[in-house]
Amino acid sequence: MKLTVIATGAALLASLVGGIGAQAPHADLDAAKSVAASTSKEGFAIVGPDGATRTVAADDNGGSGLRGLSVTIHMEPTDHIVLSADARSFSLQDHDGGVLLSSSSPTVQEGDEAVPAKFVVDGEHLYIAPITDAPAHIESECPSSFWGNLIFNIGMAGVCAMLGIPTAGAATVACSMAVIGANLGINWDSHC
Amino acid sequence: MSRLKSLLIARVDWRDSRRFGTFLAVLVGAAMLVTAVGYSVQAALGVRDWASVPSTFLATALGSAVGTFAVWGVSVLVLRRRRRTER
Repeated sequence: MKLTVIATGAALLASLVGGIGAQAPHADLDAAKSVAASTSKEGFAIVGPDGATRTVAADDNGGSGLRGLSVTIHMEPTDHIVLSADARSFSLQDHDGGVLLSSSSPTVQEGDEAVPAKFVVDGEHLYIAPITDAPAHIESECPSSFWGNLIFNIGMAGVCAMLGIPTAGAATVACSMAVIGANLGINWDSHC
Repeated sequence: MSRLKSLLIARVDWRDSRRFGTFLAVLVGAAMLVTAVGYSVQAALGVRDWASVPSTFLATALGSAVGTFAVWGVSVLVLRRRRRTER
């Protein structure tokens, strides 16, 4: 079935402006009242209370493999995106937790039917895709988690190996078990 | 089996490079096996995505191998230096 996203890039970007006469969006993204917002052909910009400018621009779809709408949010390093547990509510918050942009209950149009959608975040990309299609989040490569895991294991393997010399291997076995437990318990992707 | 048992119970002499290397290889191999099983169980239980298992295991295995090989390599180098000094 062919999917048509009603909230097109331009409409979504326009809808972000909230009070600036946007057409009724299917993803009710609203800039917080405390921020200044402006739109252009290239995208949408909001200036937070801290004076920094964040931009939102529609992507060319297809990169994620998801059906739906995709936008790129260029945000400050201290900003963060908060999704509700069911991924049906989204907000962009500054470092103080102030809401710069928010949205809830997005829908996409499949034929004549409005299908409930949810938000999917992949780095700076925000997707709005049908609930049935979208994963909780897109698994993307996180080089820092790989290197963190690698360096941790190099160090711990070295320590465990050296422990084997004076303890006839008993400490190495115990140390290895502890490292295995740590490897299974540590979520190296948590900061990505 | 008894050879493996003695390898793990007997005090490891790091000056015996071959024996020390075998001891480390057995331990790292066993640790890798347990880790791989652990990741698989976590993925089967839904705690971890199957897609993330290969890259996570690669980092774990590579790190353990490099760290262990570094210790073994240092032991070999120290041994060689000692032998040269003794001569």
